[in-house]
Amino acid sequence: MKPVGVVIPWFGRDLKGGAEQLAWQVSNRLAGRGHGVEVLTTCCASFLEDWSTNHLPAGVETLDGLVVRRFKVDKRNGELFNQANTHALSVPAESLRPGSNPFTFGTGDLFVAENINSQALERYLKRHKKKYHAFIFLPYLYGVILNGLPLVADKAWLQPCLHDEVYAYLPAVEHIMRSCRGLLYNSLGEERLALNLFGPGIGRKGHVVGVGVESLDLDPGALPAKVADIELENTKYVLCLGRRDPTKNTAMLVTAYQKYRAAHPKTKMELILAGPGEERFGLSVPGVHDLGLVSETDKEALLARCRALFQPSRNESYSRVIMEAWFCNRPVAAHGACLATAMAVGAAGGGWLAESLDDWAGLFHRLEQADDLQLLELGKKGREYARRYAEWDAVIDRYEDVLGLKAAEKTGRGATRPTALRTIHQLTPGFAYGDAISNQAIMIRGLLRDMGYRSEIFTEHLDPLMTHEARLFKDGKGIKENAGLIYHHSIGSGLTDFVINHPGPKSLIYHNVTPPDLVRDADPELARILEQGLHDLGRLAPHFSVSAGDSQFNSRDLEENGFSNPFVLPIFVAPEKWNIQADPNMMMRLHDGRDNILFVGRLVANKCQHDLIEAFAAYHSMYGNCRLILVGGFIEEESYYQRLAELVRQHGLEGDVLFAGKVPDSTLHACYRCAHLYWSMSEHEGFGVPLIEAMWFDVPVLAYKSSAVPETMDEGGLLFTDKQDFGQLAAAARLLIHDPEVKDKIISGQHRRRNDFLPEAIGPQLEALVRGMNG
Amino acid sequence: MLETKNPEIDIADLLEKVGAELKHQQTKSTGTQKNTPQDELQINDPYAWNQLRETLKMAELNVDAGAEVTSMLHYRGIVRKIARLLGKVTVFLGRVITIPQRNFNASILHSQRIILDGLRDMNRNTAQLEREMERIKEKSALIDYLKTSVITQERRVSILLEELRRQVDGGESSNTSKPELRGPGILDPLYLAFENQFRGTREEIRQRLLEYVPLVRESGAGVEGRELLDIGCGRGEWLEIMHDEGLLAKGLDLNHVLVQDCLDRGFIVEENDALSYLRSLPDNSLGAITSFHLIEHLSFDDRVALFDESVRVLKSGGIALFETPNPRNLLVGGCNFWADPTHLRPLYPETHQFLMEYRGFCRVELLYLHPHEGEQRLPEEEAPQLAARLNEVLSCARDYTIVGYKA
Repeated sequence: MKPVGVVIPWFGRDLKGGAEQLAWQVSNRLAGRGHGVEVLTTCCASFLEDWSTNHLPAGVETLDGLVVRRFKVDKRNGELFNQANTHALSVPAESLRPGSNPFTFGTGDLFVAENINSQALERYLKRHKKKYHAFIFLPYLYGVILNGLPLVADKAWLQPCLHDEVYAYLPAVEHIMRSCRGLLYNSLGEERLALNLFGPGIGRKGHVVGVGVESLDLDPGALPAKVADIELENTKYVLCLGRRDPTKNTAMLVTAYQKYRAAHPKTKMELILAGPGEERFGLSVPGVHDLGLVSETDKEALLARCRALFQPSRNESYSRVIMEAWFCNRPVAAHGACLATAMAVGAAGGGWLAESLDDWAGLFHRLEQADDLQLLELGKKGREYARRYAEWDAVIDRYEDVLGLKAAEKTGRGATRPTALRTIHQLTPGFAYGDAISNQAIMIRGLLRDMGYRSEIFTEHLDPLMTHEARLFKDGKGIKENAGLIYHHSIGSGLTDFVINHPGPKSLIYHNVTPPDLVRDADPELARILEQGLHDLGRLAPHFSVSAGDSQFNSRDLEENGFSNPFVLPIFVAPEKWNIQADPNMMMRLHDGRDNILFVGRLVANKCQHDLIEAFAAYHSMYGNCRLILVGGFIEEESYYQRLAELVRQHGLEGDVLFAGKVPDSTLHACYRCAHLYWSMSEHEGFGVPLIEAMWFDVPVLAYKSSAVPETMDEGGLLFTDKQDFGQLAAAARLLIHDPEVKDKIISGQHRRRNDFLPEAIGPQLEALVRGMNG
Repeated sequence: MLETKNPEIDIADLLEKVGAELKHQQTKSTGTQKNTPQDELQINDPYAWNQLRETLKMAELNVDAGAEVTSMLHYRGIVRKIARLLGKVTVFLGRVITIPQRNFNASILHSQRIILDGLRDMNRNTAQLEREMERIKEKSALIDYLKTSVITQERRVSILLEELRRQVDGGESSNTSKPELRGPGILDPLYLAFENQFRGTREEIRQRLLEYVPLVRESGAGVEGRELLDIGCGRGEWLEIMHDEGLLAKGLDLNHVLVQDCLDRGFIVEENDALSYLRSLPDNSLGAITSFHLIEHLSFDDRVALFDESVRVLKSGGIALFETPNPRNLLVGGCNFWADPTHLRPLYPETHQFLMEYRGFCRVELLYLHPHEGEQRLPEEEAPQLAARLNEVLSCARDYTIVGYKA
């Protein structure tokens, strides 16, 4: 098999730093299992050296049997880089918002261009991409990665080692997170952070592989009894291990200890700090010992005999020392605001979380009170977790799985075609940007091609933004007589006669025709076309032996119109659609602390936006600080919009209801990302794609039980059966937004439901439909 | 009324929670909190903005045009192989054109992105500036209010001091009060004749005064409870305009003949002198005070007293407007001003702007009006610089107006 390329700015056995160590371990261990591995790196010696100097010779070398290719670094303007960096670091952490670029005035481009870069490495990647099975890029924030990954994006796995820091908000980082083929995370917390920053679009390509730690099965007898003159056996102490720098919060821990000691002067509990760094603590603080850098053996001795390990840093994507402590059966305290460590401690149940100074001071007291057995119990829980996520064997197994390194199963294309047909085209009256039926057609085309069919989409009305996706229908040109044809019906069109007369195998997918009466006042022309659509449905029935509705609700409609045994083929709703940048302006505006309540759908009377405004008015008067966002096309002169605008005025909600209009996907992405509740009052939904989309964004859904809504929602979200009491609905909405217990349960139901609309779940139904076409 | 198929959720529990939440909310005060700041999103604004972003994205997708062969997925097997080979040859030969084209595409796109980023940053800054401006406006309104109240206090103190002095002096000074503004009634017909001769025709004056109507309307004066007072209303041109505009106004003049004339025309006019009439009014009782070509007839002390009284009797937001000849125009300052024998002296604009501000008006501005036009201006063809310079001092505004508001 072709080798795996590991791309990292610096590489060497003794390099410090999490990503560098990780690269060394993973490369060697993958090679140890017999996989070809090549490290692609620069001639710069380490992070600490000048980034435009080539300390090491360019070319191929072998390090411990591993092939390492080094490339010359580019000249750079360090001054400009420092300016851009200083500019970014001056942004206060609390003003960072997902989707908004803190690198203003072009400093983001400077940061990337004057970073550590190597054009030689980029040229190599471009030329030799084919020679590699896959690439692992790490970590996320250097030029070599930011500029190199896009060149081989379809073979690139990014192991970001992501932190919640200003660099994570750089647009170039978002670009590589989105364009890479897959993501490898060190911890559950890092994955959660990535989803918070970039939304569900990157969710399904991410895998938590974990980071291995040498498991410490220590023989206590072999460990030194004394470290730096401290008799470990006779000392009750809390241990804090790690590098000192202001972001690691060590000073806070010392202050918390002093606070605890002031309250309990007779305490025997002490605090031992160990790790590199210039800053020293505790020289004059009673009970605190700062040992500086200690040897591995001393570290092991310290770990094995501590009461617990405290990890107060807020800035970790993964904490090796936590795993080490757990391997020694010791419990751990982590900072509640650090996603990576807090989620590990929470998931393992192997310790405690603390945030404020008082929390930490309180923990010292709690530890002094706890008996040894309790502590051991917690430590053991931690050990179980560490075995799962931090044993190298298990970790490398996961790398093999994700990168497809195990004996490759053949998944040849074209072999699975379920019928004798070679071609299946789709025909749809309209094809427009953002339209649910058009998106469905694109998904179906992808699956048909995967099955081995030739497949195109033809349409009568083609949106200029979508010319690359579909072809204009001209008297059946391009559709051969014996080709299979799937016709999407949702409105009256000039295609009816053509599809009736098409002699080849065919099927019809019905997406519901909006009842014409609902739009007659606002748009008589549309009502006429819809009427024709209803009429045509009856005409089409005898000519289609195979048909499907996109919900049970629609299938029943088909049966009533004379179709026999219609299938149900739900609409595909996959989160990958949202692997696009969210509109940064909208993100910034909606992130203002208000409760954002969202509904997506054209402004028409049957979607009942008027009821929603009334209900929102109730919510607003009870709780305030909220906003209603109505996404969906409308014409300002239309009477329904006028009526809604008047309603908004009557309730005095002018600043609080946003008529966003028809918006591009990037803006809709921002609306979903910032929404706290999706609230539907609609009385007519043929399927209701936004209900499922909201579920992908972890937005709780509250919806009126009507038409296809209960079928689409199933166990996701919360339904209501009458609209009598807006106050009660508002209270329910409040719980969905602000009661963590209710919200969590609703969201976990939504997690289960949303998977039912993924292509892999619906694929078999499409296959059945195709088989039925009798090619 | 709530339903879910989610097995983790007990609907009875949830309904109970909803009930409790509702009850809790009802026991709280029912006052609604208003959101601030207002949502400033325009209805269709984000769409246009994002169209730009989307089209740019489309351009990005195509920036590498001609660099690679398309995947040719609609061909299969050997046909696809041949198609790809042909494609590769075409792409290779086309490089002569496509390489510079791609470079061009990339640089244009890059600059577009910088512009877009810059625009967004600027938008952000503008929004911030607007908020700052709002804050400054609020502060400045507060300062104006404080200024007025300081002036009122000052006046109270000086009245008390005056009172005190009078009591100490035993009422001696009561006979030494200043002479009345009023001229001898016998000259009234003479002044009317004079006005007709020198001031301009009724229609000319009306045309000039029309310019002030929007100012009065904007200040909200001329309605019930915010009447306008025109001091020195003369032949009543301004009162006539107010009448035509449907605004409530009253005139004041000392000239018996002019007052009679106005009364005959049906306007509300009183024969009285400005200061004693104003002193008779309560605080905060008028919407506007205007006077055209009056203050140059007053002594300095009376002018200051006029400003003081005006501030006192105007309601908050009320406007005061005083028009007088402009001495910056040398013809006016050096000659025409003296045509009226009752004029005391030309008034220097900035001095009076300062004076009004100092006595408690806010937002005081100078408006320069009625420049000489057409043939009265020196032609600029022959000696343009000299002509321009002379026009500047000889043909500039003949009058100016000081406008101020009560905070």
